[in-house]
Amino acid sequence: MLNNSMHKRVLLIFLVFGLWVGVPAPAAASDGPIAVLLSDSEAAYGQQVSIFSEEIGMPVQVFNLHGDLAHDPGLKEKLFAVKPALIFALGAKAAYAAKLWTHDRQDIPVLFAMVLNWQRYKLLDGSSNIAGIAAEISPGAQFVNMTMFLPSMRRIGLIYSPLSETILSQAREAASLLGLELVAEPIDRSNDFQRAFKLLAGRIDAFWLLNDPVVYTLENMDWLENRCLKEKLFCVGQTQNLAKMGMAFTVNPDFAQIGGQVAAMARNILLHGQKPGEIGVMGPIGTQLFVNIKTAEQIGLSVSPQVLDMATSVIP
Amino acid sequence: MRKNRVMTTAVLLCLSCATVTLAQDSPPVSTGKAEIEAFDKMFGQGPQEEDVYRTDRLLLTATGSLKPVHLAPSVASVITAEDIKGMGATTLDEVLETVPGLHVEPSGVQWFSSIWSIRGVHTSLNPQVLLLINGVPFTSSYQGSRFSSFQMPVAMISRVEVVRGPGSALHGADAFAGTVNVITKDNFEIDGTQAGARYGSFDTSGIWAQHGGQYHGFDVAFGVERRKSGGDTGRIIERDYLHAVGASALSNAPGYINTANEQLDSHLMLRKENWTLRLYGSMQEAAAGPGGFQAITYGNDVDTKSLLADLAWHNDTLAENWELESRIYYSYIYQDSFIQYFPAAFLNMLGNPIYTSRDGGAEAGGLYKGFRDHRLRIGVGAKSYDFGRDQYKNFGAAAVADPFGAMVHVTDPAHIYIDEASRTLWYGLIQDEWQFARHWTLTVGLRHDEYSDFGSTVNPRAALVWETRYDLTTKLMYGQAFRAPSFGEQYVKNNPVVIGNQNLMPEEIETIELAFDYQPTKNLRLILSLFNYEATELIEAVGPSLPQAYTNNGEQEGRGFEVELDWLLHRDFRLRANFACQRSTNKKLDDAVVPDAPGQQFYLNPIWTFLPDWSLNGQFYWIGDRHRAQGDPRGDIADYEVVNLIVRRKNIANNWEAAAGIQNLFDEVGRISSPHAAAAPDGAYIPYDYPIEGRAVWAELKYYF
Repeated sequence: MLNNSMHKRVLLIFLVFGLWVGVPAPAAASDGPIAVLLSDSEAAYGQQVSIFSEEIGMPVQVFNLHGDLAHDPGLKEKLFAVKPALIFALGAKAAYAAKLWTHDRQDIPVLFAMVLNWQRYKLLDGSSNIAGIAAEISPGAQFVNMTMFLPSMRRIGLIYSPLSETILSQAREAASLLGLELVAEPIDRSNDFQRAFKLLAGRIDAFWLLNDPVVYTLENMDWLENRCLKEKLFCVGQTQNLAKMGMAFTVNPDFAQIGGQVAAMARNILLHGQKPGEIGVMGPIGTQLFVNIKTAEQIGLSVSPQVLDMATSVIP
Repeated sequence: MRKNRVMTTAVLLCLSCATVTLAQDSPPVSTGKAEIEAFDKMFGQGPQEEDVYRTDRLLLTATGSLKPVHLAPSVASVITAEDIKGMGATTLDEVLETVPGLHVEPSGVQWFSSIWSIRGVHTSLNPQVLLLINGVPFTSSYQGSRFSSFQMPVAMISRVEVVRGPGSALHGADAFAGTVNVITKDNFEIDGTQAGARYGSFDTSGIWAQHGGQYHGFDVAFGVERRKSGGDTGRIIERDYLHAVGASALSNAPGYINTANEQLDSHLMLRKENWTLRLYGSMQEAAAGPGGFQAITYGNDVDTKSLLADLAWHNDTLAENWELESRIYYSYIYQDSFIQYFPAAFLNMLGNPIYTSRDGGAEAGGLYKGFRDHRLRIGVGAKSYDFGRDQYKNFGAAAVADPFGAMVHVTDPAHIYIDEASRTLWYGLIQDEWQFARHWTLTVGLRHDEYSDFGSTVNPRAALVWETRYDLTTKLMYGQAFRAPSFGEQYVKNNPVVIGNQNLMPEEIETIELAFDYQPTKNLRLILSLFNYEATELIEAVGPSLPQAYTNNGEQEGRGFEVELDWLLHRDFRLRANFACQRSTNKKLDDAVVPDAPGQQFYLNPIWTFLPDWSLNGQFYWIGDRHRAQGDPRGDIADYEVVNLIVRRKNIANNWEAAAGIQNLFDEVGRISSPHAAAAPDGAYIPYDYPIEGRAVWAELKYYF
């Protein structure tokens, strides 16, 4: 039989042991590396990894989904085996995988970037450990840039699928604030894009291309490139690839700054205890404007030298 | 008792806390089924935003609709105007030589016309590869292929799509071993006025101008290009036919082989709303290389005038879910060839065969997109072939009054070199692209052709395309093709070199292909294509001595593979390469290896932008493993390699661009096989083959108005 003081000592030992073992350690206390999870091997992600690794100044280990969760079912185990202090997910698939994997590990912060149309994936729903940076400039900022380029613009056309409802409502609000009219045509299938564009073409001053997967297919973009020229329509996209393909103007985030922005967020979480849930999804801090001057001339736009000076790159 | 309970509770609480934490730190399980299902639900339902980051070239030829190359149900290459400019090519032949599994070399039998040899299908007239200009067949019904000595300058080419493997299910006969579709520039691509000039070795020159714009609602694109080459007079033939018959004293050999040629090409495109009119006119002249008798002469002249007119209508708003299209086209080829068979001192034998090939057709069809997972293409059409001929010559029965004297007009059909001929073709086709499961697309097609002289044929094809992973596409393809003999193969007569055969059977081919298109990073792409085919009734001119008769000589089996690499190692440095290997044998000739076709070929193309606006483009070709025809006593044809270098400077003084290049930098003395002749003492009348073109330098200047 244990005596009373003995009971107390045993109880105290168990309590101390239990608390020592049981109390979750602060995230910052994890000495594991930062796990960078890539959707796939696109160069756009690789660039962010380099910048982030330079900026963060902490050990970084890279994992690649190769486009599919089923590609390597053991990837989750490998990632968790390094006891990551934080997961930085690049691309929609990586972000979504990180959300699924940390469903029961809310102690591991997740930051995402390069997720186009991020609202569609409901990344923040039911997760307090996730924050990120949007991959698009807000519709309002894009419209302001477009107005600079084409001051006479009043009606902006766009084609959207049900996947872009959120961005559409943001765009409507922004257009309303700026005194612009938004003319939107819905489609359900990529095949309907050309028909919808023809319906819009005569009624708008500019066409704004969404990063909507139903709209954005290589076939549609190839067609659109010529069609904008034919209609002499000011067409605006959100990735610099499009300006290189021949679109007059693109407004997209400065991807070179996103890696640094995420690194700053990661430091705040890991070193200063900031909660991801308090951060939410931030807009990208840098904007890039690409002007395809040849296309601009072909559609009859006179671009002032001041506007050209503002462009990140003028494609001849 | 109470103390025990408290203690037990405390212990359990502590253990519970510890268990929770230990569970968090315990090795996590692999990705669960539920997680994969949730992921699939989110990303497995069609295109994704991330596709925005992807880029690929689009291909039209495989299905009739634009499709990214990696998803196209065929093994295909797309060469853009930018690629062509970079490689410094001036003719379509030079462009095609860069395509894996395709080798271009002159035909010793057909007056040095180019053979586009694909995967071991290598015959002297080369009718097995179909040339399309903006989707319209451009063939001479005499040869069933491009007209003799055809060359196409490249300034107006927007892109070239090359599909290896049969395409008869979509494009009909002649798309047998492959299809080459040349897409010309439209007004948007030209955008204003451009002009350029080039001059180089062998008195080679070129000048071109093009303009594109919109006028009164019309899209207008126009281009004209003149190209001329005196030919490399360093390509010396040591011995020729006259040596073989003991008349070497009268031979021009040793002497150069005359490869002079000249082209004047013009293109016009007019487009308004749903209508597009395209005209392609060409005037060409060429020396006939070794001529008909493998004897070196210098007076030969193959003079060709051609026109291809095409009026197309396209509408995707008239009927819901339908893209309707129809087209009428007309092709006219007039060829007037003056052939001096031997040096006059030996025998003043002169021939002047003339022919007119007039083909016209109409087709209508549409693409139905109303089904969620299907894209259904249907089409019907008709084509008329009309072949006329004329001839002057100074030999044979027609010239019996003054043999080998002045040429006479051959008016008696019994004495002329070929009969007039005509043929009508009706056809219908159906093709379905069915996405039957996530990442799986099955393309099946069937084309029925009804020939007025060869009866009917049905050619199916099927292609299964599986997006195996985000970065990997796997394709399994099966196809059949059919080619009716050309009028020349059937009806040539009174000819000292070849004789037609009216009992010829159509050629048929059955091909199975497996391809992997792997893009592990955005900057690296690898393609592996494996193929196996069986061709029957291949037609070739054969016989121990001249004239040779067209015969169904080939029961050919072939297999092999092609590997392609496109690697952007650095933003300023790109490396392209391909390697092709094939082995084709003729069952009719005891499995003898098909002669002359390269068993292996390698192409390496580094492109370095070493300063802003400056680029250096290198090309290395290796052609190897070429065998002789059965019975040819000469040893296998030696391998050769060629190195080209091109340096280019853009944006000189705003609108100027300049380039300079060296072809065959090391002046490699490669050889092109001359035809086997059993009657010749050395196995061929030109026993040491034809040398390839030697080192050449050129410079080019362009101006953008």
